[in-house]
Amino acid sequence: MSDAADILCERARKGDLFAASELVTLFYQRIFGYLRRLSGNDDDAADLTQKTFARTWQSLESYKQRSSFSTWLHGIAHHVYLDWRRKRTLGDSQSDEWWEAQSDNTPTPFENAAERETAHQLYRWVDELDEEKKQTVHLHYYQNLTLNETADVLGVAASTVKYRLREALDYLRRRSAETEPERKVV
Amino acid sequence: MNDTTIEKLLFHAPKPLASPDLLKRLQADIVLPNVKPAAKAREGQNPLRRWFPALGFAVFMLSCAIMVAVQASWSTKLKTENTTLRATTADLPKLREQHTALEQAQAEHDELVQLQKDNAELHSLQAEVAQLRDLPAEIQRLQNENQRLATAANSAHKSGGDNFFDDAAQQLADAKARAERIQCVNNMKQVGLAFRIWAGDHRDKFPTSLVVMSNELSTPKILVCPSDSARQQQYASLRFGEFQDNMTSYVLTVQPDDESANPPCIIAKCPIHHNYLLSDGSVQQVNLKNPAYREVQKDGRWYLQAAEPGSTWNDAINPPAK
Repeated sequence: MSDAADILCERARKGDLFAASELVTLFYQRIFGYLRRLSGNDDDAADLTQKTFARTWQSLESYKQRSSFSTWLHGIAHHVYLDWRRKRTLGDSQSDEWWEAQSDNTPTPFENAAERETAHQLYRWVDELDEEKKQTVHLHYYQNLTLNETADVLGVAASTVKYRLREALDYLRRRSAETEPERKVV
Repeated sequence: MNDTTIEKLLFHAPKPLASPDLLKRLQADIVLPNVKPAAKAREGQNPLRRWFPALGFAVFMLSCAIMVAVQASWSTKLKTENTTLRATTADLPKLREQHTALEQAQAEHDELVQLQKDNAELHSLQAEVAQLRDLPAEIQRLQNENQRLATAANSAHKSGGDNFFDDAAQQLADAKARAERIQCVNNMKQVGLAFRIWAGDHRDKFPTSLVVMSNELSTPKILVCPSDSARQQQYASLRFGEFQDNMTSYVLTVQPDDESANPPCIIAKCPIHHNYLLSDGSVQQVNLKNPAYREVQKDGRWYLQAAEPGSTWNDAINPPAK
């Protein structure tokens, strides 16, 4: 997809509207999902997605293809989200019901209700992480970016991404260990 | 939960779905900045840049045409020159014959000049031979004269030449003797000065040894008479550290308290030249043939006393009993 995206991007730079439309079709779901998880509601996510693509078209001339188009687009979305977050105080993000609704509406690999409950709990713990670690987890795990792509988006070294992921996993494992006894008691 | 489980769950997190309206809105919002249609873009370009390939080819062709024209011009010019030269060289055999004739004439001329030179040299050689023919007679005359002069010189030498050389040798020996005597006097004066300096530093007492006053003497050489050839060879070049009193040519007659003696007594004498060093530092020369002084001993000291006129040196030393 990356090669195809780069070809489409090159055509869009030359003014091909059809190629730009294809790029939107390819990426809008991923960008919307990324911003939806971070912003907490559909309307804001839709606005942020529109802003992201608007800024993409504005900056298309300056795209030097040092990274893939996907990484570059995620970087723009990341900065759009940071700008938006700076302007408003983020309240509570996703509620438990939202995660449950998402799990119910989308296909998941969970085999039973207990596993699905564990996953919901895990996603809530992710939202408890500090902003840097949360961003890293979202980009690497939820958006399926590689370590280097995540590092490019966040503007940090790959080693920093590894460190943040390790810290996040430690935190999630600890939280999991804390809750397991309660479950056994229940 | 272990890390693998956590990562698996995170990788398979639910993906929020956007509404289809969003896609339409996003596609409608696409604005590609700085997009120019191809024709417009071409209009915006520099015309030179647009026509550069055609212009480049045209310039290349033009330069080729110019080069061809220049080469054709050169070729025509060379052909013309060639034709002219061919026309000129039509008379070449005749010119060659003329050139050969000229070369022969030049060679004959050179040969003639050479012959003239040889003739002049022959004349000069003939004159030289004529001069050489007279030379043996001249040589014979010179040999005869030389023999006559040699004979005359031999006879002159036999008659009085020895006396002349003997006189010259005698005069030379006399001059040398006088020089040595004067040098001896000079030595004794320096020794006398050293005696007086030493006495000045030692309560007017004279030293009874020459070695003790070595600091006042410039060199041991002045302690050896220049006519004393044996001592000159052995001791004159020694240093004061090696010099002994018995190595001097002079006879010391000094007494420890001679400085205050009046009249001045003899403190040293040269047995070769009969020069006397007196305690006042003066040096008296005594002529042996006609001595003006004679040695006299009084109270253990030696003095010089005026000798009687007409007495000899032996008389002066041992005066006849009255």
